[in-house]
Amino acid sequence: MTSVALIGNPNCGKTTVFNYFTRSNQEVGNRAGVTVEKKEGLCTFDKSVKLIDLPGIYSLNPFSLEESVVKNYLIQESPDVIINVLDVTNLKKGLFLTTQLLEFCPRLILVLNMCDELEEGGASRIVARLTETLDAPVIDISAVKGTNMDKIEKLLTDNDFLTPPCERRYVRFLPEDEREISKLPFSRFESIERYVKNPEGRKRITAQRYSYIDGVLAPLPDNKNKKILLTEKLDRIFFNRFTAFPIFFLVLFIIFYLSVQVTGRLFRQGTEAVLLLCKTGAAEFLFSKDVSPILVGLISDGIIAGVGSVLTFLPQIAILFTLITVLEGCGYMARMAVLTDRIFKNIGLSGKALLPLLIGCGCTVPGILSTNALENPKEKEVVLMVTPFVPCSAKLPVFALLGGSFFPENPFIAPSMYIIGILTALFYSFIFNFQESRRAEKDGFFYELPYIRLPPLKSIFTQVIKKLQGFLLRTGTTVFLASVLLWFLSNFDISFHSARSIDTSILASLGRFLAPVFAPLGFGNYQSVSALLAGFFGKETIITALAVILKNPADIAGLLTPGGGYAFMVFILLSSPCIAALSALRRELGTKKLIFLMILQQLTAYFAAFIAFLTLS
Amino acid sequence: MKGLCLTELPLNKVGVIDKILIEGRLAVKLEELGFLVGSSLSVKLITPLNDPLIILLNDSFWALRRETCEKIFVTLETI
Repeated sequence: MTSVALIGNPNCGKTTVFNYFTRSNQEVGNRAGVTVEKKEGLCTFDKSVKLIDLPGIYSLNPFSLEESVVKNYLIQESPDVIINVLDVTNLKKGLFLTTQLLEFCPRLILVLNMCDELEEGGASRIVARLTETLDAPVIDISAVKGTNMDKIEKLLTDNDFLTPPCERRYVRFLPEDEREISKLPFSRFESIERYVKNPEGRKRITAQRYSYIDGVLAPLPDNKNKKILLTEKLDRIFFNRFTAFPIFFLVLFIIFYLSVQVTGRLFRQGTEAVLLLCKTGAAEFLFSKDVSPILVGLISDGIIAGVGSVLTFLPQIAILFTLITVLEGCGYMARMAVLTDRIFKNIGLSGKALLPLLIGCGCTVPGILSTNALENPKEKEVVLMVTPFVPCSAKLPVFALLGGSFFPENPFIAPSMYIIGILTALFYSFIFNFQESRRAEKDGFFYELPYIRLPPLKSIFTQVIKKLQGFLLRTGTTVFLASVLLWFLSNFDISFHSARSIDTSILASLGRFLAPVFAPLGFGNYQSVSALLAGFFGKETIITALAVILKNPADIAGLLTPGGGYAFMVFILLSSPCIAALSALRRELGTKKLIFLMILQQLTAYFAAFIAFLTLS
Repeated sequence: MKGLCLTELPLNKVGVIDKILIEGRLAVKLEELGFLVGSSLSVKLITPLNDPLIILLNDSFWALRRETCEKIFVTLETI
C-alpha cells in the first residue's frame, strides 16, 4: 500500500483533490479549518494507493490543534509520498511550507491548484520555473474542473518515481553559518527552526526561506491578482461601520427566515398531505391483506407517522444546509468571525469561536469537531461547553412545528429560539472565562481572510446532498428505532398487555410519573414529558413522539397555553443534546466534564423555561 | 523616515516592517507567515468595532488584533 498525504495551506483545495481521487464527498469550504481531522480514502484508479487528507497548515511548527494533527501524522506515519497542494494565485505563502517539506520528504509532488484562474500560458511559465528550481515534479491542475488530474494519477502509479531511494535536501535553504544544524539528530518532519533556541537564528532561517522563495518567483511576471481587487472592494462593504452589522444580521435573518418561514409555508401542507396519504394508504393495503391490526398500527401509526413526520421537514433542512454551505463557500463566514472578534474578545474568546457556533446551527457534531481549529485549549474547552446551547437543525422542525401551532401569526418565534440559544452560549462563555478572562488572548489572534469568490455549484450540491444523506441516515436509524420503541411504549401497558388507550400505556405512566416536575413550567402533562424523553434519541424524535401520541403533532396546541408552549420550546432548546452530540462531547471533554455540562444544561433549561412561562403567562 | 506602529500606518499606504516586539508562539507563527523585518505590508481596513485590523501581506489578507499591530513597527514606504 502506498500512502500519499495531501498537505498544504488552509483553503488551497486539498479536500477537492481528495474527493476527486476517492470519489468521496468530504466537506470543502472557503475558510481555514474546514478539515479538522485526517481523513483516509483509497484511490479509485488504484486501490493500493491510500490518500490521506490532512488539515491545512502554514508551516511544520504547530500553532493550532489541527496543525498538531498534521505534524503528529507526519512524524508517526511517515507517508511514502506527499502531494503538496498550493494555491497558484498565492504562491509565496504556500511555498514557505514547501521549503520545509522538501527538506524532509524526498518524494514530493507539487500540485498547483486553481490554474484555470491564471491567464493563458501563465501556468506553464510557473510550472517550468518551479520544476527547474525545486527539483520536484510540478503539476498544474484545476481540482474543481478536473484538469490535469490524470498527471497526478500517472505519477502515483509510476514505479520509477516511487521506488528509488532519495536523500534529504535541507541544507540548500540554510544560511552558511547554520549548516551545523543539519548534523543534529532530529527526527523526520521536525522543522529545523524547532532546534534553534535563539530567536534571532530562527528568524534568520525563516528569512532565508523567504529570500529563497523570492528568488524562485522573481523571474515570473507579477500579475496583480484579480481576486484581491474584488475582495478589497467587497470587504469595504462587509467591514464598513455603517453596513457591516446590518449585513451580518440580514444574512442571519435571511437564512432562518427562508429555511423556517418561507420553505415551511411552501412545503408543509404538501408534505403533510403526502404523509397522510402514505399512512392511510399503507393501513388500507395491509388491512386488505388481512395483516394483524397490531402490525398495521406499528407500520402506519408508528413507523410511517414517526419517520414521516420528521421527513416532512426535509425541504427546510435542505434550505438551511444550502445557505450555510454558500455562506462558507463564498468566504463570508470567515468575515463574520473577524467582524465579531471584538465582541468575543470581551468574553475571553476570539472571533474564531463564532464558526463552531454557526456550524452547530446545522448540526452540533461537526460544530464540536470544528473547535479543533481553535489554537487555545482553554478557548476550545469553553466553546465545546457552549456549542450545545446553539439550536441544531434537528431542533428546527420542532421549533417550526411548535411555533406554528402556538403562535401561527408570529414569524419571530422560531428565530427567537436562536437568539436565546446564542445569548445563553455567550453568557456561559463569559462565566467560564470569568476567572481567566485573558487566557484565550494569551496566544494572540490571527486569522486569514480568504478571497471572496462564488462557490462552485457542483461543490455546494454535493455537500448539501452529503449533509442530507446524514440527516436521512439518522432518520432511517435513530428515528426509525425511536418510532418503533415509542409505538411500543404507547400501545402497551405496564403489564405488557395491549393498552386500551394511550392513557393507560407505559409511555403515559412514565410521563405521568415525571410530569409534576415540569408542572411549574407549564407543560406538566404526560404527552409533553414523553416527547421530551424521546428527544434524547435525537431532537427531531420529539415530533415523532408527538405524532405517535397525539396522531397530529400540531394538536399539542390544545394541551398547553401559549406560555407553556413557549416554555416547552425553551426547555427543548437548552436541555442536553442528542446521543450523537453527547458522544462527540465525551470524546473531546472527557466523562467528568460531560456530566457537569449535562447537569448544567438541564438546570439552565429548567430555569429559563420557568422564566419564559412566568413572563408569558 | 519616522517609524510608526502598524495601527498608525495610514490605510492603503505601504509600510516596511522594521521591528517586531511580539514574543512567544504568535511571534514564530507570524514570522512564518511572512511578518519579517523588511517585508512590505499595508493596512487595508479597520473593522467597525475598531479591532481587528485587516492587513495585506504577500497577497493574503490577515486579521490581526490591535494589540498585536501595536507591536509591529513599520517605516512608511515612499515612491
